[in-house]
Amino acid sequence: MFVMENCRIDEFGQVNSILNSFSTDMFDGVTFIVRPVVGAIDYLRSMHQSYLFQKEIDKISNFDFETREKFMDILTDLVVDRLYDDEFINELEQKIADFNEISEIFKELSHRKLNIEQKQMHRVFKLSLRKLNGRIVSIRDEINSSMWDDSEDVAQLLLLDQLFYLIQEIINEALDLPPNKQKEINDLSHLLAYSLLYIEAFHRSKVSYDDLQSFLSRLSLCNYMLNKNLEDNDAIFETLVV
Amino acid sequence: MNFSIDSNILVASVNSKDRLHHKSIMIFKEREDGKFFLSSTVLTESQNLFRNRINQVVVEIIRLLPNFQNKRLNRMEYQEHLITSFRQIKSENPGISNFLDLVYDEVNDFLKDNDSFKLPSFLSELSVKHSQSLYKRIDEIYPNSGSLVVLNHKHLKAVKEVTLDTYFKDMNDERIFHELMTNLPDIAPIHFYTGDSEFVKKINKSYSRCAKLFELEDDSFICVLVKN
Repeated sequence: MFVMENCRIDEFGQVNSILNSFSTDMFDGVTFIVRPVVGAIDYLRSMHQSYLFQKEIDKISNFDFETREKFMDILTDLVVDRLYDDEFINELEQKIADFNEISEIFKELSHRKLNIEQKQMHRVFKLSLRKLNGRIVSIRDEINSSMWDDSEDVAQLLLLDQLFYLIQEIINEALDLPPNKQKEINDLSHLLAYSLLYIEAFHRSKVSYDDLQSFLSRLSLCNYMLNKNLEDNDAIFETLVV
Repeated sequence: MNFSIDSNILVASVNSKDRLHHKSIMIFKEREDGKFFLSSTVLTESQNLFRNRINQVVVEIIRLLPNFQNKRLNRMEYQEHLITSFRQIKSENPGISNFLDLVYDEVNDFLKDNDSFKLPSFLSELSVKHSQSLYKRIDEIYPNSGSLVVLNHKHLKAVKEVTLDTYFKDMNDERIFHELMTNLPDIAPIHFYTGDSEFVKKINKSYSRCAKLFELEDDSFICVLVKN
């Protein structure tokens, strides 16, 4: 039975439709974060290192829809009723280790197998983040296109777009960090994984629309804390009187 | 004395037209020496409200755009249609004229170097950025670092058990209450300010049981109703 049958078929039709259309990209996005070598395989080939991972990456490419969905379904359980915290990534890795169909493959894809210097490892991480960003650009283009349609619920589409926009901001923040800030890059990457999985959790009806809104507010606070150079204007607060 | 506030007080403190604005600002001024503990639910609830209000305006703007988007218009004609659309929204919403003027200027700047087809995405990002003004205002009103209070799961079961008979119709009110009560040992003594008399009644019904649970004095938590 396809897990996708548990996905939303309620009043969030257009949001659901977009997330369905980009389900592969969401899976790839999570994979790029938890196993950056997947996103950087072409670079690793140029470094004569791809032989370490090519077999496993080919296996991931050949995952059937059901396996991918099961993977996302298992991981999305992690974000329900919990805020992002330092333990999240350890629990995510444990879930992957417990998932028999993929655990060996993901174990082999650990970047720790790479015997390269920090600068090149940094390159691997950056390439994967850029690939993730590319997927999100496509998703946002689709949302933008949908917002022109009068019959669509633009408020819901705005919420979805704003989540992906803030995810892009986290990616940009991580891309701006130098190689000696690998810990900070890792922290931001873990938050990215949590964020993508939270959207998927909504897609799978594991969190509510209200929960999604609150999550957006928390991401917005993170974004504000990272870039406190916001220009304020009294006029904005007129909207509170509406 | 430590202090905390409800969402209605937070929103009132950043909105000069709110009936409780003056009183809310006074709370911060009078409690300058105390530590500010903000419930994470209060912050997200306030931000949700603010962002949704801005999004409502954005939805109106996007709704009017397609009427002229696909027509073969030169830049001047597009500009004219844009002005007419904004005028229409202004006439329907006179209370947000200045905000609409701000957005109009930002849209025009965007259109100098970008395709009008991307306007919905641009407006979406603008809404997020503008809604973050809430955080900036809080920083300005209370520049000393306050603390965000999140649910302490260690104490949640015990707090729920002693407050079993208190029913909160509003889920956010319940979360705010639990966030404060599960952290009571770390934040007491504390005054909590709210403009919601129903919330005060519910809190007053049960907070003393939480104080007893943590072996604190009854006045370690005081709920204050802020009236106009």
